[in-house]
Amino acid sequence: MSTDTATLPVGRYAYDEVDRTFLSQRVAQFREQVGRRVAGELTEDEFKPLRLMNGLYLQLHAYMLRVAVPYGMMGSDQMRELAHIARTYDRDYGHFTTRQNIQFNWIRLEDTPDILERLAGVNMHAIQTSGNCIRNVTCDEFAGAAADELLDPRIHAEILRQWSTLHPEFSFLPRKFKIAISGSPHDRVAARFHDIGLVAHPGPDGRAVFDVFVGGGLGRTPIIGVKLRDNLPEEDLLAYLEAVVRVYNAYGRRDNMYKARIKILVQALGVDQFREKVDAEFAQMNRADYRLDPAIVEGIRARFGIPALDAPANAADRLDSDRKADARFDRWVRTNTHAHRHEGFISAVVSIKPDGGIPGDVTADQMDLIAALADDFSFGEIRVTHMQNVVLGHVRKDQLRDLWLRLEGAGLGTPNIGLVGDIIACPGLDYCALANARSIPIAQKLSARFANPELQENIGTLRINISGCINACGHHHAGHIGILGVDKRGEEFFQLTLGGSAENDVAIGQIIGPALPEDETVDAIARLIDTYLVLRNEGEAFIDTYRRLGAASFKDAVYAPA
Amino acid sequence: MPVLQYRSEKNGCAGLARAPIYSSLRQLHARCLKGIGSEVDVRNNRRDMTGASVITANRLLDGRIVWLAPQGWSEAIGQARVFDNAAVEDAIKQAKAAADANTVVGIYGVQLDPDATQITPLTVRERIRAFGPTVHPDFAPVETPHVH
Amino acid sequence: MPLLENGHVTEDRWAQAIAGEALPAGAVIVPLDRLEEGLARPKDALLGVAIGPDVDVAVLRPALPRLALVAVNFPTFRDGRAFTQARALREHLSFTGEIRATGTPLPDQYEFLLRCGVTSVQTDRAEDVAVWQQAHDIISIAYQPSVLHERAQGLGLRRFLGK
Repeated sequence: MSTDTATLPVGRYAYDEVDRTFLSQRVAQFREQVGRRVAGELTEDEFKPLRLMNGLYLQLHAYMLRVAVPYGMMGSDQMRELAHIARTYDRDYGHFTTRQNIQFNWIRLEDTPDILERLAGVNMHAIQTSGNCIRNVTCDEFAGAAADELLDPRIHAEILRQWSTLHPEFSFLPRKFKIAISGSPHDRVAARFHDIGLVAHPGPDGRAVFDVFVGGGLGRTPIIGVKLRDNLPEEDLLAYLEAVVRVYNAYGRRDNMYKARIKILVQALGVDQFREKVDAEFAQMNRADYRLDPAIVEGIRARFGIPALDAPANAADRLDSDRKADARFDRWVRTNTHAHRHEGFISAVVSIKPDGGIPGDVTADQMDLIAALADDFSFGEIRVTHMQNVVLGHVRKDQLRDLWLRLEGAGLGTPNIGLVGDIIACPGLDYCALANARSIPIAQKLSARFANPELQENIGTLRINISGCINACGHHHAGHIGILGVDKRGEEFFQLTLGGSAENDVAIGQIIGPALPEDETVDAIARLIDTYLVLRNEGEAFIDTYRRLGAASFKDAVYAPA
Repeated sequence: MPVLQYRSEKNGCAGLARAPIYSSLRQLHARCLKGIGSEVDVRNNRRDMTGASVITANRLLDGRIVWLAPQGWSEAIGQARVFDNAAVEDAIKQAKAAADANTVVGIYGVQLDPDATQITPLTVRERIRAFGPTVHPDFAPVETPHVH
Repeated sequence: MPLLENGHVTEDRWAQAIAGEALPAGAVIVPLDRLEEGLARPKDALLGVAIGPDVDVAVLRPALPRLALVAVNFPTFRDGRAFTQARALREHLSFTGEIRATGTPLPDQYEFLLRCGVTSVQTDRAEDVAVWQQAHDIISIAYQPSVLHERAQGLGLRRFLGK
């Protein structure tokens, strides 16, 4: 067991021999389960939840393996292993998902135990990236770096990851269960669109306390989560979550999968009655068994590597002069960086949304490059965002231009974060067995149409989200412009929603009118954006113009004949 | 490179990367619906009373899409055996009961486009299954005579 | 119907109540709606109760001192409510008798069953009992507390599963 803190991976929990033993046992277990499936001892119906618990779906063209990136954090060594898996077992590609994971679209069942073994070799796994269990806990992509952060949420995210791993009571829930945790007053995790959203901040004694939101979600029935509890003490975190999930497991609907999420239960009971049940469960529990002792938290915290943030005194000045000297670099800094808590550092967002490209798709070579850049510029640390981009969290300001030049050279320097081109899209009907329509081609056409960076910056902040079906993996309800693919007699149509947001101003987008045929959709959105440019006040973002004027002003633009 | 035979290329809805057509939505709807005909369920094996279908599944070991051929399962829809819809339910039952049924997952029938010259599914979903993801033409299934 | 207990197939000493017939004299498992009838038998006659997954186990509280067995049910292996029932029986009601899983749990759920407090499984599945035992043996570490109060490992909430 390594206890040398100098070798701990930055920004994530360092596995020890016990954790590695667990992972190798889990791989052996899956290998044995695959063996029984192939031998006919397990039916497909029985095997399905077992493979889903290891992230393996059967999609349209092949199996898809979703690898967990706990709270979005990974190291360069892990990224290189993912590149190797892409080359060896897939078709040279990986795809970053909207829940900070990465998935491979062309996997063979017979290869999967070997792939999981390779992942275990770099302390990675696919545990609970699918199935009716507690999924990967998501987190702020600027955690531990952001200037506005009150508390690094990754320590508690890791504790929740461990607690939920092969949880004996909660592995066959009515439906999947998603937890997000934020430590910033600016919600970057969509806390109120999760089954449980935790907003952490320091309590009176300096220990973390949590505001607990419950019953949010998108999908068929989009609902904004409600506050269940203020200032939950850290030591009660696990006991309280046990109580919430236990109430859900006992009372959540199991007769209809579309009504099985906790949000439906919370709505059916009403938040007061739901809270009563949770409180009754909580009161009965032997809290000593579940107590999250500060010593436990600190033990986990001690397994996290801390970056040595040393920058030259003139780092910020150097960045200023670099920006003045190069307008293109200056634009990228404006759009693709985020303020760091240390004045000599900055967080850089690598856009995985090239103009006209597939949102979130990376080639094996790009993965290797990102790994190399992480080593050279950010302590070997890589973050996957729920916007399907990549963040290098701790870049020295005086080295930012060198980073940008290398990104540019590899086609990874697109300056579009938070702009029209930064589209969130699910894989859609090109890959997904559940989809009704293709998401990616719409994203590609929009992104190509608005490729001009000046135009994008002029349009300003605009979140476009595309889902290929009502399950809403593209979070269309949360987009300023949401696009939902629907099936009409075997053909693709797209329904537009306006005014959604997953941030502090959380809102569910409203349907603007009848669905459009595929070849009308991109033009309709272009007219929508043109209308905004005409109607906006000075400095007003799309979402604010929409909120000021309402849907009517935009409806004509969408449905007006040319 | 295989060509995706989207219905849109014939009747002007749901096309790939085509020049935008500005006509009234209602006209477009009408044209699409007229082109498609009666209800087709893309998710399961319900289909028209008339017309023809092929039978498909995913192979257990590698998940690849396969089509029921005169002998065994083929990766190429061009090799698929075409059934009249009056006979396809029985054929699906037989396929599910066959000795090699445990080598595939999720056997169901796919309605074919009566207007297509080659074996072509009617729905976008099944055309993507048959001819590969539209966003990666290089990932289209390769036509081989090999039958498993 | 084979009964699995402690990794072995054992003989079932319990009789099931038969609908429309009087309860037999020995150890018998009654459905919840015949619990009163079971309790009316002599106090030394072994009594068990079978509950559906929708039952709040708190309703058993007054009867528990007389119950030697509670049978929880998996209508399908995907319906995990019995895990919560078993755990509530152990944790909240301090039940120390046999908890029997019935219905159609999978061997792959065996460790989860044990850690939630189930002690025996009644199953029609064809696999060798070794498959169930393997599900119990294959993983030796857990990351959360359970009703078995396994030995803490030291870091975090980890514990060694007693094997």
